[in-house]
Amino acid sequence: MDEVILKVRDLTVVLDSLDKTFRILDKISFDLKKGETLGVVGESGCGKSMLASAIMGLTSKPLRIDGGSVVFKGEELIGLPEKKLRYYRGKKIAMIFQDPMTSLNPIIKCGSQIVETILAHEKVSKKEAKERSLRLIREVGLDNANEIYNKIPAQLSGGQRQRIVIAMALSCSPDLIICDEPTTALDVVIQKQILNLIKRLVQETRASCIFISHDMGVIADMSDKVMVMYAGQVVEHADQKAVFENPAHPYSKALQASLPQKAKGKERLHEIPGSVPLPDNMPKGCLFADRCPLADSRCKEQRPDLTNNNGHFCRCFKEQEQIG
Amino acid sequence: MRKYLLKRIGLAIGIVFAISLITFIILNIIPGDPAALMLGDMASPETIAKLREQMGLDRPLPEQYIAWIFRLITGDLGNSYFQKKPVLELIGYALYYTSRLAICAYAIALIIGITSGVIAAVFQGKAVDRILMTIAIMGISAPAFWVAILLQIYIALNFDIFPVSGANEPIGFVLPSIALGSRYAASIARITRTSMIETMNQDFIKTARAKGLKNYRIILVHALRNALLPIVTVIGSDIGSLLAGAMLTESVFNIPGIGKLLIDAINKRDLPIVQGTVMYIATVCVLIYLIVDILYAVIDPRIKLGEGSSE
Ligand SMILES: Nc1ncnc2c1ncn2[C@@H]1O[C@H](COP(=O)(O)OP(=O)(O)OP(=O)(O)O)[C@@H](O)[C@H]1O
Ligand SMILES: [Mg+2]
Repeated sequence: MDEVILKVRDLTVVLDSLDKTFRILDKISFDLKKGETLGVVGESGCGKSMLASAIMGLTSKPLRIDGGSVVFKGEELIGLPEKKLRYYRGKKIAMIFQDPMTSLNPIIKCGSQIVETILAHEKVSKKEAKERSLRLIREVGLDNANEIYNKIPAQLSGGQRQRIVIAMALSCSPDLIICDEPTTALDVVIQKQILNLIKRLVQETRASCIFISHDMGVIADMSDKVMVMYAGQVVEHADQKAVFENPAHPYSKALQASLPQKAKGKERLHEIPGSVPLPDNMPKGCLFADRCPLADSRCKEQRPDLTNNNGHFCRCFKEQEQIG
Repeated sequence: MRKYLLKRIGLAIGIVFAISLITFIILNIIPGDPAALMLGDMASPETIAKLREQMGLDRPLPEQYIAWIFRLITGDLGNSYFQKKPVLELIGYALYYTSRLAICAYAIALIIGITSGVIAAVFQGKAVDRILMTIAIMGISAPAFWVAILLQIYIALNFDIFPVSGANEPIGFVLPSIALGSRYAASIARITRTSMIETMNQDFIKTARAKGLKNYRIILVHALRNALLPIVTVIGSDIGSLLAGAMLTESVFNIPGIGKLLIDAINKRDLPIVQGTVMYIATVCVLIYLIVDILYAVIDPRIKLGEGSSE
């Protein structure tokens, strides 16, 4: 249970534009143990998807990994040739994307899309692969697997499609599953079902999981540890309990305050004023200073570091002052 | 699927009828009396009148049209005024040449076009891409007959294996096919490239990469198959226009195909041939579109479902 299977250090991703490069991810570090789920939370544009792509080596074109390390089960993935990376993708690290409407190939039968993943990684016969796919389709809660197997995505509902995506992700029994907002595109009832399914399967397979969401409620439900991201930086990182019961960073506090169940009754939802700064227009000081109720002149001038307070990481001058 | 098919076939028949009506009207509006034309300047009015009666030209137009349609349905396109042969036979003979030329030209176009389109898309923005696309633009803007003349002057005259004109041997088809196919190759290359680039940016390609599939599989199975959908539509209209005959290319290389048949007939005002050829061309085009629609439904299973069943 204590074995660290993913070790990310100072992972940095930049965006190359014509004359400048912008930092999209700024020195992200964390450890993930076997069977553990790390929740990654932050507003749209914080770099959550970027982090997922970078771990799998899928950053492309204007974006580029600019330093840092991703060690998966003892092997450094950054700089690994495509051929070796392919072994990890789909087999050891699987990904579940946000929108099942677009993440499946529209003209290939759902079953074949699962089979193809198995055949890409394992030396099994087509028949065996098909049987395993049917088993997986049943396992993710779809009845009449034979029928579903032969359907193309357009013939399935959003929830059904996401189940197919999940079956596909599980097909090679990965050690790490990255879920990038897997329920954002679904309606509320289906969301709950899919979340429970992912939770159950992650527990059963004892896979580790990186669960990305912008919804604090979902994160609270799914995660063992929580990493709060803001504008490409980690601003808080600790055990789930610590982050929710004792949030340290003003941004985490604001995110929690914006949760519907906390803003009871008819009370207006607490919204965070302003928006995430864009990569080409980053403030000089703390990236959150412009929207922070506590910010003072120092916050606007200097950038705080991520500091460790007994395993509770936080990037805030005010918090550091309080601790002393 | 069945409903879709019936709808398409009904539409196709309707279009052919509409074209037959238009053709008939136009050819009857243009001045010039076929009987007089056939008999020449020296004929007396009586002889002309007699021939008109023989040919049924003195009857009311609607009656003539209906008679023509009935003959059309039984495959009787009439006889050529000047060659004294059944038009159907002449078209059949011309079709033999035209279809061979069309098939060779389009095979070349498809192979070169799709391959270079995919390569350009995969290396988007790199030198290979720019070179291929420059050639493609030149290929599209160069008229086929001009390419044909260049090939004649620079290749046929310098290398004895290629005949300058005529198509009695298979080798005679090589240069005309290149001349005719180059423009199609160029436009197929451009469409393939655009469509591939668009497809490669879609989410399911990212999924395919995240699944650890090999690159060639991602490009050929996941991207190309989706990218082919817009290509299939142009393939249809391209083949339609190719089977309608490449008038200029056939003329330059002196290949007795449909295009040449039509041009010669127009020059001589050989109306049965003109009428017959136009009807043939129209039918081919409509038929090709029908086939393409069906093919489209086969490639893209979403269409089979018809409206309503997809969300
Ligand atoms: N292909 C790209 N070209 C340019 N900028 C990009 C590209 N992809 C991402 N970015 C930038 O990277 C930053 C992080 O994007 P990312 O998609 O990781 O955000 P996210 O946290 O996943 O947001 P969301 O909740 O909307 O999914 C954004 O500022 C975005 O503008
Ligand atoms: Mg995202």
